[in-house]
Amino acid sequence: MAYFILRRAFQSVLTVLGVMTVTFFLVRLAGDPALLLLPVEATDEDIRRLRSALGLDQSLIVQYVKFLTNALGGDFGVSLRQRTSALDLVLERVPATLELALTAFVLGILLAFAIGLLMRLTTSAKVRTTIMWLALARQAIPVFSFGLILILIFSVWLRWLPSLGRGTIQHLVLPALTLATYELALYLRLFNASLSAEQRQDYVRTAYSKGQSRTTVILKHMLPNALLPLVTIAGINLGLLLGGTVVTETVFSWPGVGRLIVQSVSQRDYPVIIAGVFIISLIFVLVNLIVDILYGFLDPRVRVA
Amino acid sequence: MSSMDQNQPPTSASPEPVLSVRDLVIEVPSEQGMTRLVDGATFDVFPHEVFGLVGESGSGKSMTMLAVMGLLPAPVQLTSGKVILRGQSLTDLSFEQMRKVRGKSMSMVFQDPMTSLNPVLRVGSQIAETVRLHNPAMSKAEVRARAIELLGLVNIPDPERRYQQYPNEFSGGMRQRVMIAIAMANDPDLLIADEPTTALDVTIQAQVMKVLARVRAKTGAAMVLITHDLGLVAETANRVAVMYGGRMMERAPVDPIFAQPRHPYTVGLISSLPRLDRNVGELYSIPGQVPNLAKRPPGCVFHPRCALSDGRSPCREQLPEFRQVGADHRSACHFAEEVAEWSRKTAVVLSGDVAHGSDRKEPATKAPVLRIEQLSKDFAIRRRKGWGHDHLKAVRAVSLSLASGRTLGLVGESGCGKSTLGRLILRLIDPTEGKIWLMDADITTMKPSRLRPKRKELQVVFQDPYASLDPRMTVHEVIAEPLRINGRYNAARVNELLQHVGLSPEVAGRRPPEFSGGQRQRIAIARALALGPDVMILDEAVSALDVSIQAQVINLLKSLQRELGLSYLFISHDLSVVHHISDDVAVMYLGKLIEFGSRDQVFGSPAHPYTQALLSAIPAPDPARARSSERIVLSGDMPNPLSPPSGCAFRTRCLKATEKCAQLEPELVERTGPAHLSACHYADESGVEQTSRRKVGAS
Amino acid sequence: MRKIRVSTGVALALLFGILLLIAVVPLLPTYDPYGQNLSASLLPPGGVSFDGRMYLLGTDTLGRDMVSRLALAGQVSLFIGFSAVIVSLVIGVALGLLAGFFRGWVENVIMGIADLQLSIPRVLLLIAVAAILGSGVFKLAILLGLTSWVAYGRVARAMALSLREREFVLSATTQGATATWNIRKHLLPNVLPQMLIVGSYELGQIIVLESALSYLGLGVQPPLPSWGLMVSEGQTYLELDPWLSVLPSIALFMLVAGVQIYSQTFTSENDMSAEVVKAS
Repeated sequence: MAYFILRRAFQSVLTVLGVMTVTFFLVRLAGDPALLLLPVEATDEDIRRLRSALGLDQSLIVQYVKFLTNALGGDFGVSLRQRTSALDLVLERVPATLELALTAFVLGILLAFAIGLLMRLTTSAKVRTTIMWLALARQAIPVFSFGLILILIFSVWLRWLPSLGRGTIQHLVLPALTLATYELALYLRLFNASLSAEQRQDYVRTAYSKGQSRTTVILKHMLPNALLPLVTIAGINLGLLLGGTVVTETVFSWPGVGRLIVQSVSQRDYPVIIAGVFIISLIFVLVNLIVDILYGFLDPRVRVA
Repeated sequence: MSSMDQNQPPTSASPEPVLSVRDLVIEVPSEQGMTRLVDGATFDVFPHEVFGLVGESGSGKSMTMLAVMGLLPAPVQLTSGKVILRGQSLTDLSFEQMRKVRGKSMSMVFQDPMTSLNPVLRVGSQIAETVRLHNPAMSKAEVRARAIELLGLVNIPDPERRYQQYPNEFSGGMRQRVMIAIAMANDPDLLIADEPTTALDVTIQAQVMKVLARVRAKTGAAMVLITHDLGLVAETANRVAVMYGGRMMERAPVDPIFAQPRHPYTVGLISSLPRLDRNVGELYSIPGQVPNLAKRPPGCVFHPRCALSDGRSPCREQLPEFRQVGADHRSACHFAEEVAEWSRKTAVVLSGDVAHGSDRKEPATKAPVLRIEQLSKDFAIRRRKGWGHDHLKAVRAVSLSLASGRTLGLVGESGCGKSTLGRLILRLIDPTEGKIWLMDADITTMKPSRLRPKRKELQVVFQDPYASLDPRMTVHEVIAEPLRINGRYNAARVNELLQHVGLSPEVAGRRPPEFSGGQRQRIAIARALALGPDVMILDEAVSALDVSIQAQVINLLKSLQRELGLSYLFISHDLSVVHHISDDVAVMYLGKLIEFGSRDQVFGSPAHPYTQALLSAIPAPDPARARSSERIVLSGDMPNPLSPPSGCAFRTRCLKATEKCAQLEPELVERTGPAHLSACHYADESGVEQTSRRKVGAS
Repeated sequence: MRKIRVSTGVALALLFGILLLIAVVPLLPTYDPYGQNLSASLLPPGGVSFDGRMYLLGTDTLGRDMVSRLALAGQVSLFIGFSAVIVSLVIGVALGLLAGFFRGWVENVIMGIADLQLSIPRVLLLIAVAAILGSGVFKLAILLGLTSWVAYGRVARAMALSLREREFVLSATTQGATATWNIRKHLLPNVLPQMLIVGSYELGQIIVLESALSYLGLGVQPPLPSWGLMVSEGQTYLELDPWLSVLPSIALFMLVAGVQIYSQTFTSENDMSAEVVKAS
């Protein structure tokens, strides 16, 4: 198990290095940073001096190594607009994004678990079909459309909840619901698929042949097996959710990393975009590492090698 | 194995049956309405007896017993019929009432032990669950003690520790013993065993059957043994029912079933079986294919394949009655009275002991067409604990040669490296060491571009008839492919090949999914013949086929060999088939060749203790012989090939092993006769007479 | 059986609605997605302007005909969606088959790139790249295609891994077939049907992604309409005229739901292997 964790951690380090490499080339694609930093009326001499100050006159390899060391030290450069550390700007916004993503994630997964189990235990095919159709429909509505519909109903017509900003718990309700219902639909369908796959396994027949009841077969035998693959998927999805809050944050003017990135795009503030993408990717890689290790502990086939 | 007490007929004259099944009809909805899987199964199982339910795939034998357990998989349904267990009608019970019966008065052991246990629950808790369910008054400690007792009962060593482990820490044979422990947990009146050893190797099968016999002797439970293996039935069962196409063909005590069968299907089935105790030139084979249940023929379901029927009208028009033809003997044949006369005239004559007929060849004199020397293959396996790789020695320094026009049988249990060896010779994987000569050319390290034209001399037929043919190609395209690859496409040649393997050229436009297993294997053979090879590797080529179809394909292979002068390397785990088809035999264990000789040497006077154990483990389809012979039951499982034992690889399971075996690896040399090689220090001392001595492993 | 027919019916009905919108509307004499008429701005569906013209689905802030704009936006979305699916399918199948068939370092490199790409959420990657390279219909189609090959690549690789060990491929090898022959004759025909299933599912995802980017202002650029862009433009007038955002949302829903339900009829209700493989 210790080796498994070590090997997995090693892979994660490689991935982070890869992400940094991609980011470096994105920066290069963005064009000459010196031109972006300087006012339009700057002379060629100004540009040359700045380029040499930034190390841009050195070879690509040297720049790459320098970029890596800087990034490892948390230095992604200075925001072109705010003249402060790009990383600090991003980190400031991380709590808001985490708050939104985690609330939606936990809410979505708990509801999916409860509804999924009830669906399996009920014998009414009508209930099951209706729930699956609702899930399918929710999955087909883009996040921004769903968010706007919620705003329209709860803020514009009913005037129950605020539509913009962050602060009180009421501010959290609509954006969290927007994301959570999407998560709920996704997990419900995956959970249902996973349980259906388990239902066909031989060990289920063994359990029935012992004289076991339907409820116990589902809860004791099928559930642990059905949840295992979902652990991995949920981990990946939590990461995606962190990135996917971009749109929701924009709809509800939620001051998270995503909104920062979108704002920086319109201001062409590349260091902030790069730092933002990097931080989200880092969180994503970390979450996946943790989930894989967790999976290793949960599945005896991995744990007891 | 103490088969003496087992084959005793039920003690009392006419006791109450434990289980009565009457006119069971099982159906599944399909596109054309309801398809009948089982049509009118009727039988009784009496206390203490073993009732054998025999049939090929699609016969409905498993469905019948799943229906008895109330475990038919949706959407399969029980349409009509009665199931009575100890006087209680089960077909009227609700799910809740049925729960109290399942696992208590009746229980079931399933075919595949690798998937029948829940992978994420501890083995102990899976046994304890059954105990607790039907004994709610028992305390936790009592339940645990009982589960551990059960583990001990089925010969699981160190049950206290094993109780805590997960199924993936158990071998296949051990998992099946755990399944038996679960089934026997509440001393059921009836145990249903559905192909309990089919997924296991023959030496492990012997272990599991021994455990089954012992726990049954202890509790006195009756057993229904569902199997396709006539040998297993002959050895284990008291009474037997033969099913075909969802209907019962014949039912009788075991002796008359084998000695005086009264249904042409039973006769055909028994005489299509290759046997260790007989030498025949050609096997009897039932013509035609297993019926498609959706298009069940009218009248007798067997009549399209029946030689006795010969197209007579009652067979085509009337459903035969399952009628009494002797004491406790029923047969569903209009002409049951003619069966004895008919089988004497045709079938049984064919399977009689034709002493080395024209078929037997002279010993090898010609130069070998295929030769391998000291061939080895290591696979690098990523370590799960720690960094780096382990080396799995799948094949270890094997030398063999195959003479022109002969068949070399290569036998061994799963994981012995026989299929890897086949793939090495085919150059599908690269050897780690050693040399391969094909028709005097060293192909060991030949470059792909030079090897490609040589490949036509060596072709292969694989085991799985479903994976061998690309489902997206028509039969014509499949057989034309080798010709096209080599730029020799010729439509007439494809038709010629189809006829060669007994298929009509009209089928060429159809796709593989429309064909049955036997037909697909014929197509695969036609494809292998397309380039006119000299050598064919037959990698378990008949192992996946039903007995009646297997006989057809074996006969085809033998006649093709005669016609075309082919040389075969016949890789198989089935010793009876190898005995039937081979001229020379090689036995492998844990990557090494441990015995080599002519067929009569290896089967007649096996020199290596492993070969002796293998031969002794095969149940003979002859109840009288099964009762009289003793059996060597090897203890334990095959060692982990990642860390093979020192010295002789077999010593950990060998009855003769001494200190010398642990230190010195025996060489494969002539020990017991000319050209009869074996790798055992004590090969001289073991002879034929000793195989029949009672030797039971300390398992 | 019945259930499959119901869902197929629903899918076809939704897709037929969209087809009507994007194929028939442009043929009407009133089709004009760009013409502004400030005197007729913000008309509700069925609204009539001062000059007596009736607008079936109303007008936007600049008085442009909503139904025309929705139709053109649908064409744009479908064009981007199909182009991106074709680009990513070709890349994904090629890389996946190479990785699965040849294994070794080829597989390590390709799957390494795939893992790397998966560890940067697709939306963010697209935002960053679009921000740097700029956007436009063609660029968007290519970008979405380049960033979406992993789903196909993983499924194709998994299938190639199993197909290369299948007996019909091994026996072709023993008959002298080259790697090219095996990939062309055996792997590709067996992988393609599954790829089309993945593709139909991905089409819905890509359309959502495109609309999201356009909503953020990083996708289709005005004055060309896009459903995502129209939702975003309408958001300001949510209180005044909710139709501006709701109508393109409905169009999006119809297309995405139709495509997804339809793609589901290929796989069984419970088989979400494409999603599971993609995620694991």
